[in-house]
Amino acid sequence: MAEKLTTVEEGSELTGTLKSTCGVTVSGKVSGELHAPTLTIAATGAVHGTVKVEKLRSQGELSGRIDADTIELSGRINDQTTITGRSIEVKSSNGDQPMVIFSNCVIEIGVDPNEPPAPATAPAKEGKGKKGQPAPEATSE
Amino acid sequence: MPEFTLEEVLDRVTRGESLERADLRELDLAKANLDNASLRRADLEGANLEEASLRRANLASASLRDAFLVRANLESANLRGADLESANLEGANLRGADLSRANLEGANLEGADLTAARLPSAQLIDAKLGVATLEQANLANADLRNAYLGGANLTSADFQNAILESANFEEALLTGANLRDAMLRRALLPGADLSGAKLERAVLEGADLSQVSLQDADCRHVTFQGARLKGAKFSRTHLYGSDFSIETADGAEVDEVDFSVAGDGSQLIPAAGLSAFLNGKTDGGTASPQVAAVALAPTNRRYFGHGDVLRDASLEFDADSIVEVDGRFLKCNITLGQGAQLIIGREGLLDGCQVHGSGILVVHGRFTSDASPGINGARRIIVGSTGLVRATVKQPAGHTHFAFEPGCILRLKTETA
Repeated sequence: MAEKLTTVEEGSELTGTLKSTCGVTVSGKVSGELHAPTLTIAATGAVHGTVKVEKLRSQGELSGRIDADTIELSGRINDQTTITGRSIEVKSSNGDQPMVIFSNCVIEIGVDPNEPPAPATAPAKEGKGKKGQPAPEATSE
Repeated sequence: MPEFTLEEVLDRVTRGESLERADLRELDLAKANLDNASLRRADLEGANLEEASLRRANLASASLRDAFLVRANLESANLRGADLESANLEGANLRGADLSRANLEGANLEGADLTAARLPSAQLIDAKLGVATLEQANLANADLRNAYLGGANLTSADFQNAILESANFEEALLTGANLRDAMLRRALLPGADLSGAKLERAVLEGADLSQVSLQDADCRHVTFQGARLKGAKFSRTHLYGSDFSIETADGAEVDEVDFSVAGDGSQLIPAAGLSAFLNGKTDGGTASPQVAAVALAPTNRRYFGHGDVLRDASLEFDADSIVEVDGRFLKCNITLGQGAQLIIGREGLLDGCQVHGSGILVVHGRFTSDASPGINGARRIIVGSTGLVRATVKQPAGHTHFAFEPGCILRLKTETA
């Protein structure tokens, strides 16, 4: 059976939140929030907003906050875009045109071993109960 | 006079008693069964151990200088740090033996079986390893200067960082061998099979590579300058960043070769289009300045090695020059001429530096800079799988060409002109 895909075809425009448990292919335009296991943006496609996926493959246009485990990029990354991920691949160009155009962007990929670890979150205040036990519920007279 | 007789030695070994530090010089132990013997730091200089069985014996730091070990069985023996200078190990079985940091200078290992043996940092200067089997042996950082390895089976052996200067590998089988960062200056490799070998950043200056097969070999960033390549077969060979050119390839049999940064075959150039490609044009007529820079100026090359540290320096590199850094540049100001290539090797570090100009930056090591911008005007930035870049990049008009390999670490801020 063929793998199920959510497709936003060329000429279609979607604004809002798109959450999918199957892969998403965008040949048209998506503005808003997108959550999916995989996202493929075709050369004609554009996604603007917040993206959270496991695998991103883009040949089109991207902007906003992009968070993916593995990223394969070509195409164009617009201004004010932040890309975070575990692994990125951008192939070398063979001609005058770059494979990917980054505008004013921030790219954070992989774990830098020399970076200080993120500060630990403040411990939750203990309740009145014993450690490991929930605090006793207030009782009304 | 040795401290023990043959009978006393055999008796002790049979009873499992230690012969640690025993004086066994010149003793005749031919065909003796010394399996599992504890001979750590023993003095066996000049001893006769012909066809002796020393399986799993502990000979760590033992002296076996000039010892006669022809056809001895040393399978899985511990010879770490042993001194085997000028020892005769012809036809010996050293499968799985540990010879880490052993001294085998001038030793005769012809026809020996060293399958999966461990020889990291071993000294094998002038050693004779003709027709020996070293399949999957570990020779990382070993010194094999002037060693003879003609006809040896070196399939999948690990020679990373090894010194192989003037070593002779004629007709040797080196398929799948790891020769990354190896020094092969003036090495003799006629007829050797290097198919699928990994030669990244190896130095082959003045080497004899006539009739070698380099099919599918990874020769990225290899230096071929002055190498003899007559009849050498280049087929799907990965050549990105090497100084391969039409001149160096004179007489070679070149099929299609790959110039992709990642060495993944994504930029295969057929033989017919190679000349045009190396002169800056692909078949489509578009310029390829990155490769042209490499191919046209092979001599304009500078190298800063592991121990080199430059601090607060101002450096200017001419157009089309190639600069490789395996050392450390701290707070330096670097200007790259048009097409100049700055390659930060796996061990290289540029910290707090600023790079200006329309050059090419290739990062296999680390580039970290808090300056804004740390990189200004670079035409290309290529970050390899081992590379780390933390910097602000100010792109030129027309944008920087970026290439990132999976595995790289990036903290990049990109700015447009």
